[in-house]
Amino acid sequence: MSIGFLTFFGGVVAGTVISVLNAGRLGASPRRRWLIAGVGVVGLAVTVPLVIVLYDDGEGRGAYRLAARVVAMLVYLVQARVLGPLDRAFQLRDGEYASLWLPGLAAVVGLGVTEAVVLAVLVGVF
Amino acid sequence: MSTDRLDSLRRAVEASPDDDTLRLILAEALAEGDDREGALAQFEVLLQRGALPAESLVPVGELAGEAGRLDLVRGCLEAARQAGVVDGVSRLQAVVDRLLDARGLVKVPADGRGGPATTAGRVEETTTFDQVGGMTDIKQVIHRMIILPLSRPELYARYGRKIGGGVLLYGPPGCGKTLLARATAGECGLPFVNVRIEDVVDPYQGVSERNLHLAFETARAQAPCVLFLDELDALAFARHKHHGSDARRLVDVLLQELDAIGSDNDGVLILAATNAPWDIDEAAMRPGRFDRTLFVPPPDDEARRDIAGVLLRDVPTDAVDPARLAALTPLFSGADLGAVVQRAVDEVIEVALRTGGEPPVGMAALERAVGAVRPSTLDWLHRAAAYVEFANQAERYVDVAEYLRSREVRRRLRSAGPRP
Amino acid sequence: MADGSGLDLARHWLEVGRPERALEQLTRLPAEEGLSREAFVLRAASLHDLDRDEDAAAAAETGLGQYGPDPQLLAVLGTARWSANRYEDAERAMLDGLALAPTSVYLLCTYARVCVEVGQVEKAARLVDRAASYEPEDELVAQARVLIAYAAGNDDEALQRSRDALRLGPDEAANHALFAMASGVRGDVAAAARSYRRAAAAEPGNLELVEAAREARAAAHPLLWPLRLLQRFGVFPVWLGAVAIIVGLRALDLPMLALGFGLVWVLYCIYSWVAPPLVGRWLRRKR
Repeated sequence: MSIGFLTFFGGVVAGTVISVLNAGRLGASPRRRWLIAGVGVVGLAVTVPLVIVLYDDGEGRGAYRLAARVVAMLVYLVQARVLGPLDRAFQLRDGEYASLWLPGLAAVVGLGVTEAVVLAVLVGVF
Repeated sequence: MSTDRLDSLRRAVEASPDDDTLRLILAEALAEGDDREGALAQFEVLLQRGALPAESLVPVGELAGEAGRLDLVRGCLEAARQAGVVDGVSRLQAVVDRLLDARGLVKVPADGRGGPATTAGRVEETTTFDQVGGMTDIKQVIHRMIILPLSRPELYARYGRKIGGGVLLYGPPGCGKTLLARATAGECGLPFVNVRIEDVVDPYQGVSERNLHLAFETARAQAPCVLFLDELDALAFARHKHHGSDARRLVDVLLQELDAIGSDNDGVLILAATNAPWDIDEAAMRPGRFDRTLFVPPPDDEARRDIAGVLLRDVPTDAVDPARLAALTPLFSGADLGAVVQRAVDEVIEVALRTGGEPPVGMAALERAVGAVRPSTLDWLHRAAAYVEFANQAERYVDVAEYLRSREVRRRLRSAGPRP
Repeated sequence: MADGSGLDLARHWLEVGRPERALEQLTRLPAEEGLSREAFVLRAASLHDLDRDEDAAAAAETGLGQYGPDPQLLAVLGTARWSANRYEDAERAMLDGLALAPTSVYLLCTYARVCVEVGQVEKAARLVDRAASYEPEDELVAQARVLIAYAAGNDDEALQRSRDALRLGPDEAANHALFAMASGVRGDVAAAARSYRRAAAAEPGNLELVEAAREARAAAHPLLWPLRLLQRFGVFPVWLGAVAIIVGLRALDLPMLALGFGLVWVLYCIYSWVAPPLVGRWLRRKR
């Protein structure tokens, strides 16, 4: 569930990268990891045109920001659904969760900022 | 009943095999008509289906006894016990005993003295409290709870208090529960009948129960005496934790013997010891059975000093003070102190082998050994703490709860957490 | 002692939860009894109960080497391997055991639990259905069903199945622990605390249960009642809801209300971080 916060603040790319990392730690098959990455790609593909279309030069209420976050949350929900059974199996194995603090922080700062910059550039181009 | 009527009943039962009422009528009719084998066959089916009425269990058991059907008698006896039948259960037990005797499956009685119960050769226990070092508090409790009532029976009788009954000693392993029980018998000048699980359990059906019954008979024959059940949790393991095994029947027999209908157990003081009071069947702790419990803590300073003195008696030492060793080893049991001494001796032997000399065991070696030995009582105390915390049995285990609250114990338990 | 009674006593010690005494008894047996098939089963089972799974597996394998494939030995071997998280080896042993005893409810349900732990939930469900066709009212079947529902994310079903397990074994610590787990995921911390307490009372030597009971008791403490919202619905959904309320209030031109709600929400978040460890520490000190 902390990945939810991460995706909210860091965006689709940050959330997807951490989800794929988490899937690996939970023992997910390569297929499942590709599925999670694929959902993230789809989410990004939806976010870009949405942001471009809704961008209002900062004059409006930031509908583009809200839209980006809504898409990010939907991406997170689907990825969480995919990972759910693995997470439960991990708990039943009495697995110890490794901390995602550092990778999470790096993702929010690094990937989140990168995503914002790329979106800004694309908005500028279009 | 006429033959035609019986045949008609037989056909009806064959047509409706699940109709227990019909089968019971047939069985009773066959019994009345002196077809014992036929009747027992039908009663056996009813018993297996749990459809034999409680009031029929004893008569059917006696009928099976006449036919030499030990398995059926035992089945009826067990069902009667479970159904709470009182009248006639001891008669059925006698039938079982008779059949087992006839098969030559009688074992040596549980106290190892050979032969069936006898009043001859009462041997009184000679261990007394003087031979048990320290443990002043617990000795005082035993004196008040057990010894005084036995020495002043008329006083206690005036107030309606019966002598005898059961007292459960519980506590960590190796802390002197068996020794205390022996010493209690010695203080009272009574014989000590020791029942060990090894002498009770037997693979042949019914013999374990028979052995247990015989142990109680031996005690009754030697009354007044102390009957000691060591490792009570092995004999009276909680029945809901058994998974349909023979050991459950043993628990039933033990409970029956503890109750001993009438005043059969007068003059028999039943002491028991256990390391796992939480594993004992709840029914064994009810009033009239083991309703008095006594926590035997790890040996106190004085007791440890005495134990250390005994352990070091035959070991060459140099300026070793048992009192100092005792002070360094809170919560250590006798066995733990033995391990400490052993470890120190091993270290000194290593030195002796290397140097060729014969150095004595010194305080330094003992102190190093103390650091390396984890008291075995700690795990028990952690378990007891959890039990007192969650089982809500505080009213039964008040003394161990109080012990666990003492500063020294809390400090030790916190610094050495439970073994993972 | 009568013939075979040494083994009988070892079996008895194991049944009354004293595996160390069972092992001790087995060492005292004469060679013929001590190397019998049953002795190997008892030895391996005792070692497993003492958490010495490598030794347990070794004992079972020695027995198998001597007596050939045997369902009981294979069952103990599989269980020991599973405990040691050697899932593939556990599966191999259990499949070999099932080949000899295809109706063994123990093997079917234990194999199902192995499958659950590696994420093969559907396969586990098929195994348990097979076991249920032989013994529908077996406790092992009920327990496995709880775990399957939990692993599949069907929390309501997990709760219902755990009630079934309790009905079949009301004094069994494992069933109370399962009910506590199922209640906990649905946010019913009070029920979870009660059940974990009963489980710990039944098995005070089980450190995991005792710790779980202590954590559950802390979570159900009255000082943490305000956090029940988070326990019931999950931290992230509640957080999203709060953000939505703040955004909504601002959209409705109610900035002061939004600010006020925001402040309360921040204080609530701080309380949710700070209070649980403090309450836990305080309760541990009180013990």
